[in-house]
Amino acid sequence: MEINSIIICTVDREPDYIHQNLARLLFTLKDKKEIHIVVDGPSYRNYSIYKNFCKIYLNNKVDESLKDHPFKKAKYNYIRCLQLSYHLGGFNLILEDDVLLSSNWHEKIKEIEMPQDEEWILSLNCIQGIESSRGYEEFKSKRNSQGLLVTWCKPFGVIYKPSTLHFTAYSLENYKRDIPHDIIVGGILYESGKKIYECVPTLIEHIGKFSSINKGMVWKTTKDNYGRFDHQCVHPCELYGN
Amino acid sequence: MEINSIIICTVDREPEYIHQTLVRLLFTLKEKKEIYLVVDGSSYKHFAAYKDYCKIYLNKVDGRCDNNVKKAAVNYARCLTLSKNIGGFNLILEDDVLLLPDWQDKLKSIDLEEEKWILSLNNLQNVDSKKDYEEFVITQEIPQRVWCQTFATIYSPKVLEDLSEDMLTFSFYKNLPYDLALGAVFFVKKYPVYELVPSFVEHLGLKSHMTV
Repeated sequence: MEINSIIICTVDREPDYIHQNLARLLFTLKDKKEIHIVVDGPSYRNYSIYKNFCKIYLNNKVDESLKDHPFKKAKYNYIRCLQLSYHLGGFNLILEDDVLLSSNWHEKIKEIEMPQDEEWILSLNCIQGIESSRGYEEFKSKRNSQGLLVTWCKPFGVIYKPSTLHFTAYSLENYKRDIPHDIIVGGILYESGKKIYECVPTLIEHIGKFSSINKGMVWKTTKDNYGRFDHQCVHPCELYGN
Repeated sequence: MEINSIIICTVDREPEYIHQTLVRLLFTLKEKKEIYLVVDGSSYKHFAAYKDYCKIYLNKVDGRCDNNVKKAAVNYARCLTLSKNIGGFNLILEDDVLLLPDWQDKLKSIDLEEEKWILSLNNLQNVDSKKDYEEFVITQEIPQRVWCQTFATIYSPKVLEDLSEDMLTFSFYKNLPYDLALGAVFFVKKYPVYELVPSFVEHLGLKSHMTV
């Protein structure tokens, strides 16, 4: 699969993980790609230094009613990324701003041929850590001992099939419950029979220790941070389910 | 002038400007160059993210350094020595600078004839020049009108022969920051200092790591 561009979903926050993310992206890209930065905010601030090198999309329509709804606010910025990817066409990698790509991610993605007769998304992050000769494996949701549905989450770096992308953006926009958008995406894809594939082993790791959605929240697992390329496997999320 | 590599002089500090410096360097590099990170510290910390892409040189604690001015001088001296060992022309960057687009093309158009010179990508004088560069004349010894601000600098191989030791001598003797110590060495040894016109580098750092 050949990707057209990289879309980074971000918000002005401290620490500015996006700089490390970009440095690693530039070191690991095998050929030049357009980079788009989708900012949940009206000001360039930290991003102005990249104005000549990336396409930057600010959000000038700040909705005051979302101030107390950080999940919804983040959800709408993610929808902007999905819409941009749809507008650009083809396959685009949508990245969160606090990740590091592996050194070989671009070659691996080029090698992967995704099924044409399915609706799918491909996550560069691997939650399950299972062996695969194809380089990717399907994430299978299941119920845990409490009956909760274990769905896919953590969309650190995702490529959507364009038709799945359109469906996801539409469904996400119309989803009413105020929960994190990654959980919603996992849920709506699962319930509609779309396939979630994960790269095995993982091609991305998470460096953010602080959540931009829930200020002050520190990620519980240190396995999300540096070094996951050697020992990946974190627990799938258990929040979605009716 | 064709440069062989880029040497970044850095230390583990907050804010971590080095990431922005690297991103801008990578965006503006026209062709692949070796990048060296010379770290004033014995641990990789956030530099670990670049282990596979840059050559990283950590530093053992130097018993001679009892303050940050001396520590920084020793680390910059390591960069000068590294440039000498690599040979040819190498760009020594501080860790909190942004290179402007086309800096590499500009350097390629410059050909300095003397054996000994210093070329800064930063322009202190704000002069207009018909040439691509202008000489900065150091007229007095410290503390007045010495060249400073070593944001992005290339030293000719002949200058590098003794420069790290000379700079350390000045820095340790008078407790001078390394950029002022370098200016003093240039003044004493009558090395010509050239600056690009206009400047091809911007300073990003609002906080000095020497005067924390």
